[in-house]
Parts: sequence; structure tokens; C-alpha cells
Amino acid sequence: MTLVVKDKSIVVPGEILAQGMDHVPAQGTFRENENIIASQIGLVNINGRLIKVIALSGRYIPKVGDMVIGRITHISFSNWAVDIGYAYEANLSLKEATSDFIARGADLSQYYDYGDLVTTKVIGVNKQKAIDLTMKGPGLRKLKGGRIIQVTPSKVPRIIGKQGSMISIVKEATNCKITVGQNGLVWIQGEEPEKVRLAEKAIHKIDQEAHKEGLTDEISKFLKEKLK
Amino acid sequence: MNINKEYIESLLIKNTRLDNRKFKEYRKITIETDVSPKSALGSARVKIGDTEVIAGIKMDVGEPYPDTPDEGAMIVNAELLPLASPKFEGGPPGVNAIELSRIVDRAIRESKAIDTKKLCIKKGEKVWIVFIDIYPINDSGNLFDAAYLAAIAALKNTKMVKYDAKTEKIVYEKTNKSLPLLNLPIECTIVKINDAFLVDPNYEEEEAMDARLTVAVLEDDSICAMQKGGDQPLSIEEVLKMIDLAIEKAKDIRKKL
Amino acid sequence: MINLVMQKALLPVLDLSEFPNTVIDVFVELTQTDAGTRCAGINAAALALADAGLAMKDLVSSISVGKVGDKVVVDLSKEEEDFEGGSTDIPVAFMPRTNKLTLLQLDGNVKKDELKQALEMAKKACQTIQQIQVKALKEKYGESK
Repeated sequence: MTLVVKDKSIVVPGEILAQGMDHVPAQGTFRENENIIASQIGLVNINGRLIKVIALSGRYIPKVGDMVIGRITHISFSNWAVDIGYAYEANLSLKEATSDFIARGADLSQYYDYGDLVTTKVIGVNKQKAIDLTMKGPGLRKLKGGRIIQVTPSKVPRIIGKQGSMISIVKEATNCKITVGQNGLVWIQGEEPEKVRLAEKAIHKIDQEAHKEGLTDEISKFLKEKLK
Repeated sequence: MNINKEYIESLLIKNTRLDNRKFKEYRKITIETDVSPKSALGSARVKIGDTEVIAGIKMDVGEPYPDTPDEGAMIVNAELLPLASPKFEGGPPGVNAIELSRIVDRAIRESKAIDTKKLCIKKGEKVWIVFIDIYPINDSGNLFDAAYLAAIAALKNTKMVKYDAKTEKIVYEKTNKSLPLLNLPIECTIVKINDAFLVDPNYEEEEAMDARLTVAVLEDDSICAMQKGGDQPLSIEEVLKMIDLAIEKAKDIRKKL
Repeated sequence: MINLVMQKALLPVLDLSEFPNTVIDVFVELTQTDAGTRCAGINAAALALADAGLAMKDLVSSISVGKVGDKVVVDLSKEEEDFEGGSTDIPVAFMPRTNKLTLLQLDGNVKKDELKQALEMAKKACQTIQQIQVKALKEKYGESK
């Protein structure tokens, strides 16, 4: 019947969010008898009867459809192993790596070599934590040049913004190409080092202050100030 | 990651670094002493940027080394705590932990920073042994300089305990007597990436480096210890250039103690 | 042995089914010790696990209680642990919401009534500790108002 916490408040594991049977526990929460309890540190999000906690911390957990930035860690006869920052390695098969015809015994490192960074998409995740990736798709490619930084994966939606609105502000102000992976890796490429640094700072600022209201305006102001 | 190494190299051509520092610029250095008053006789916490190291000093009484019967002894121990970096694993010290201990040890020993002659209790039989324990709390590049500064600051902060010759036991009460120190060498680490020499490498610069030189410099600008690291070789001119940088920076850092 | 009891104290709140075939390493460094070390370690580890974003059913709060001489006390100091007139050390840990024990050890000599009293005091103390842990987490994550 009763909500014990306010929407958008910060809660910690074990905290009681609601009592009674009126609400339904979703991501980041669980039901224990009459209570709905937070299982992670994060922001409460109440949507009608659904209560969820959006995690403010934690490693990336892959979902089908996510675009991520991964690093090639192993090359086999017919696939590559890719580190996407999860507790388990992801798999890129020959079939999904390229539309080219690859002969048996060909040198796979010609396509993707150890240590290469790629933008790739998650196409499968099963219960045993096997993860399948593809390089076939718009914008998916091996990364050349630029700089990689790391942000908190759960803040990525905020960093990108609705339909890319937040990250576009940063791109325009700093004249940089920026690709944000759902796994928290961000690729920045720009001509001027100070602008790249500024983009970095702005992105880290969004990461730190993701829970604040009016962040879009603040970031615009921040960028304008620094560019004077 | 190779992308970041290429990026660092492209910045060096434009005369700048990832965090906008100059090649000769150190990150912010803070030194706090007496951070572990109950369990150590002297202690310090040093931060260089986000790199953080804690050092503690303990003393015990033991037999002197046979070749220095009237001098005290010193043992440096560094443990690369898994807490400090995803690269460090638990267990007995690996080569990197040992390198860290040895570099700090060498600078303090060769410079005679501790006046070991004043640590003799009974010649040939009993001397004070100084234990220097070093614990990195966060590795964000350049653990060597932070560890060294923490060790020296902890030594300066140390108050001795007393030895009761009659009962042959140590009286564990801190006196007002400081550890007898003679010299204060300062250690500076410089890395080479392509043709650039950078002091105080941060985490990414360390990963990208070709070679590294750690130099310990005394107050009179003489050099008492050196260690080269990294996979690539250095020419003599390059070494001399790096030493000049170390001598210049040591002066600034010494003022902070 | 300390690491075993610490691990057992923390396990009940974790849901490890999200990470099959993996190990979660918890490294605890004690920079200065003065009795109650495993309790301080557990409090810190619980915070670190929450900070790491792992799914937890509750936090874990820990304190040592015991008997010094003939008095039942909370949070024994080193001198109290070593008291010549007799000392019993009882480190405990609770899951604060349900008040269930995840750590319970005893070293010394107490009567059942004294133990009961000590455990009640421990329960209250752990409630206080949990509030401090919650405050620390919320402050870090930006509840700055």
C-alpha cells in the first residue's frame, strides 16, 4: 500500500522501498513478504506500479542489441574472443565478422588483430553467459586513432541523452567525433588536444552528476565557459 | 591499449600530455605524517596526483651484519596490494614488488640517509634494525617516487623506543628521540616515450613508455642510486639528459618534506 | 581463519547466480589494528561490495561485544581484550533488516544470560553501524543536500 521512499531518491541494498502488495518489483529490487527491497545502490524509479532501482555503480551486463566497444583478446581458427568489460568474454564468429569470403586457414589477424578496438553489437546472450557479437551493421568498425576513456556503464543512457541529445551538445561544442559504448567505453577523436580534453571532462562530469536535474543546461553552460 | 599509446604520442608532438601537464611538471604532491600512530613508530601517506602510498616504520633489536659490527641495519619491504591496481594479485611479492622495495632501499642505503653508526647498542652483538614497510593504496602511475617520499617522510616522523640492556628487552614507549638521519636523497622517475622525456608518468604514460629511469639525488646534486626499467634501451646522452631533469626536479620536491 | 569467517559473514547477502563460474575477490587491508579487526573488515567489505554494484539482499554490520571482568560491553578495545581479570570476546555480524546473524564467535567464558544480553546489545550497536554505512554510501553517490 505505501511507498516508503520518494521517486529519484538514492537507496542502498537492503533498504525498504514499499510495503504491501500494490507495487511490482522490477530491476534492482526484490520482494520479501510484504516488502519491496532494493538490491543495489541506485536511484529509485517509480513507473505506475513498477518500482525499479537504476544502479549507480557496477560492471556492464550485456543485453542483446547493445553497441559496445570491445578489445580483441584471442584469435582462433574460426572466431575471435573479445573483452567487452564483462566477467565473461564475448565471441565474434567468422560469419558475423565480415561479409567477405574468408578461405579456410586464412590469417584472421588481417581482419582483427590482438589488441584491436572495435565497435561491435551484441546479438546473443544465453544463460550460461555465452555472448555473441557482430561486426555487420551500420557504424560497426575497427577503431583507428582517437582516445578511449572509461565511464560508469549505468550512466551511459544519461551521457547519450534522449536520442543522443546530451552527447550531441558535447560533440558540437568540442568538434569531436564521439562514440559511446553501452559498456562504458567512450571513443573520442578530435583535431585539437584541448578540445579532446574538454570533451573528456564534460563526459566525466555527466557521469558524476547523472542524477542531478537540469544537467543538460549545466553541461551546455560548462562547455561555453571553458571555450571562452 | 594501443589507441591510447598512439594518442599520447600525437600529443607529445604538440608538446603536451594527457592531463595538460608540461613534460617537466609533477602532479600535485601531498605529504601527511603520523597516519598510523598506534602501530608504527613513524608513518606517512603520500599522494602524487591519484597515486597514493602509505609507509610505516618499526624498529627491533638484533645482531649486526658481520661486516658492519657497529652499525644498525635496515630492511625495506613493499607489498603491491591488490587494492591498489587491477594488475596486482595477492600472494608472495612478485618481481615488481621486489623492484619497488629494492629501488627505495638502494636510495636510502647508499645515501646513508639513516645514520646507522648511531644505531649501535653493543658492538658486534646488538644493534637497532629499522623496518620500512611500504603499501601502495592506489597505483595511478609513478609508484616509485610516491613510495620513496612516503618512506623518507615516515623516517623523518619516527620517534625511537628504548632498549633496556639489563632485561634485554625493548621498552615500547615512544621517546622524544628522532631517528638519526644524515642525508635526504630525493628520488625522481622519468620516462621516455619516442623522443620525449616526461617526469612523473601517470598510469597511461607508464603503460605507453619505452624506457624509465629512476634517479636518487642528494642535497649536493650527487647521484646515489639509479635504476633503469622498461623494455627499450637508452643511449648515454639520453641517460644524462634524464639525470639533469632528475637533479632539477629533486630540488623542488625536497622543499615539500 | 579470519578470512573464512569474514567470507561466511558476507555470503548470505550476495546473489552469486548472476555470475556463474566466477570468483569475487575481496581484499581487506588493515592499516592500523586495535582489536575488533574482523568486524571493521566486514563493515568495510560490505560497503565495498555495495559500492561495486553487486546485487545484495542487505548490508552486513559487525561489532564485537563481550564481557570484561563482570561487565557486558560493546566494542572491546585491545586493553579490554587482554584484561587480566578475565575477558570474553564475541565478534558478531548482523544483516540489519532481518536481524539475522552471519558471524558469531566466542572466546572466553560467559553464562547464557550474559550471552543473551551481549547479543541484544550487539543487535542495537549494529543498527547504529548500519546507519553510518548507509550515510557513507549515500554521501558518495551524491545525496549532497
